[in-house]
Amino acid sequence: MKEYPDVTELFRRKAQRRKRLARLSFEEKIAIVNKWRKLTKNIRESQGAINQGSRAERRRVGKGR
Amino acid sequence: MEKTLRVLNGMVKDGVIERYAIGGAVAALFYIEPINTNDLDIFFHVKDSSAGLDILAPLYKYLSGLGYKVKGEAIDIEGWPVQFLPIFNPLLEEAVEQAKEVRFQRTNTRVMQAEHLVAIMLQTGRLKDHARIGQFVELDALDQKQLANILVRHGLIKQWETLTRKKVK
Repeated sequence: MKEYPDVTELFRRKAQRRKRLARLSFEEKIAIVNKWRKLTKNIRESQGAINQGSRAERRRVGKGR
Repeated sequence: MEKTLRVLNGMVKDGVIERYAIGGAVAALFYIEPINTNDLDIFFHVKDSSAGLDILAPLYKYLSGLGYKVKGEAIDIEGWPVQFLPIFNPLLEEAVEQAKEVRFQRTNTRVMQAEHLVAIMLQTGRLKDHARIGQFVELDALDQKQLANILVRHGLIKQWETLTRKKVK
């Protein structure tokens, strides 16, 4: 029978981390959320720029044919 | 966020809304670990609720006057998309009435109590609401007696039992 690693300790630590995060102040939590929001915004903007670049490239290739 | 809250407090001061409380994911942040959210849900009372569907019109007029722009179903106030939700049932009314007075940096605000948030999530009943209720339970963020009291008074015991598959005594 295949053996799998024991992840009990890993999950215990994860639960501990969540409890630690829950104990942060409201301000600290909002600061974390703000970082996520900024990151999401940057990703969306990069995605938009990449998509725009791909469209321009497709148009360029299409014209070259 | 602090600037956003100052604008909201200004709305109360200027009589645009009578009272408000933060609900939804941002309120949940007060009790559980940080969760990714983009909107600030504001539940509010107005003095004159006879406006019907136009209930948001005075709010938007006031905020547009201050230069804030509508963004989908929300209005962007100092970088936070704020969604204004008028109180539409007794549970929400109680949740706003009994919200906690808290301080964010140097600004006072009101956040719904954990037990009301859970009851509202139970009433809303989406999958993400149920998952979030699990976080409140797991992190011992609830006063069980108070929660049971709210669930009984607002007829939510059946939903709770379905969720937990246990009898609430």
